[in-house]
Amino acid sequence: MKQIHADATPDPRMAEAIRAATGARHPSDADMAALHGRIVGAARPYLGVRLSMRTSWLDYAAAWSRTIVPVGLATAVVAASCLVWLSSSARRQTQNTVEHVAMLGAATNAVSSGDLVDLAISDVDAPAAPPKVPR
Amino acid sequence: MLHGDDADADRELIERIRQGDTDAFGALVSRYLERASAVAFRIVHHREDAEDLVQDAFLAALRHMDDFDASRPFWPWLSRIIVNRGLDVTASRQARLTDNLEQDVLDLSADSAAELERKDLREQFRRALMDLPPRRRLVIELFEVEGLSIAEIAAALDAAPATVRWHLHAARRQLRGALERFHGDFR
Repeated sequence: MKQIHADATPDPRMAEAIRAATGARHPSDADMAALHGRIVGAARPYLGVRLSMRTSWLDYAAAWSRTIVPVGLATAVVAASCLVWLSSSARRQTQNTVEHVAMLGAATNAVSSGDLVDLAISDVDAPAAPPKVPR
Repeated sequence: MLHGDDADADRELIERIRQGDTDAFGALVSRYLERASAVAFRIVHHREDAEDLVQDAFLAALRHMDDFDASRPFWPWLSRIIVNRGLDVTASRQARLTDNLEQDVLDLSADSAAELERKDLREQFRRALMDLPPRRRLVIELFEVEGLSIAEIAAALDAAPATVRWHLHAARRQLRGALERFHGDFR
């Protein structure tokens, strides 16, 4: 084990023999530049696909935003209109309920005439007073 | 070994490459082309094949760039691609490798007896080197000739440093006889 750890220092004689036996690589700057150009040239189609994927995603989002924004606004307007309509409808419904109670009280003679007038002209927002039931 | 700034620069380049930036890819290739070529040559022992291997490795890295964890250094990943693909290539082209070496290194047209004897000793050493298992041969070549550290070789081979040390030790032991004959003739 000790010998294996001692091995971890380069041996120049071994390097020389390996170079002599396998040949040495002596690329010039021009060779390296040519290889660089070849690799980047071959990579262009892949990079182009990546670029177009990114561009098309942005285009997709932009196209949808042109549709979604007006649709969203229109939906908001419709929703607001519905809320206003529902609110006024509820007010009418409450008023009708008060009138119905007053009519019912008059028909059954369960409410005195003074209370009947109060009921008929009472504020629609105020909770309708229950008709007095004779004992 | 890379410094923190280098790793940060790599990370930035990789982010730009993921967006399809050709200049960023060119810059990344420039950073590692020399080292990649050296490692590739040590595997295939032939200049054109080494260039093909380097190109193939860079393109493979580009294709799998989304799988790469950019918080890790780029060079060990690239060197692993080179080594794996290079060993596959040499396994399938063993005959051609021998032919290449014979063309590149051996010139048997030498005229003097001393020259012939020297070439013979070189050939003996080359045979001993080529008889090593491919990964072991690569370990000794990257360590002795290209000056890669044990840690760098371990990263490239996806092996433990202790395994690399063992391969280095075993390769030196196997080559010892041929090395002594080789230098005995030269000195």
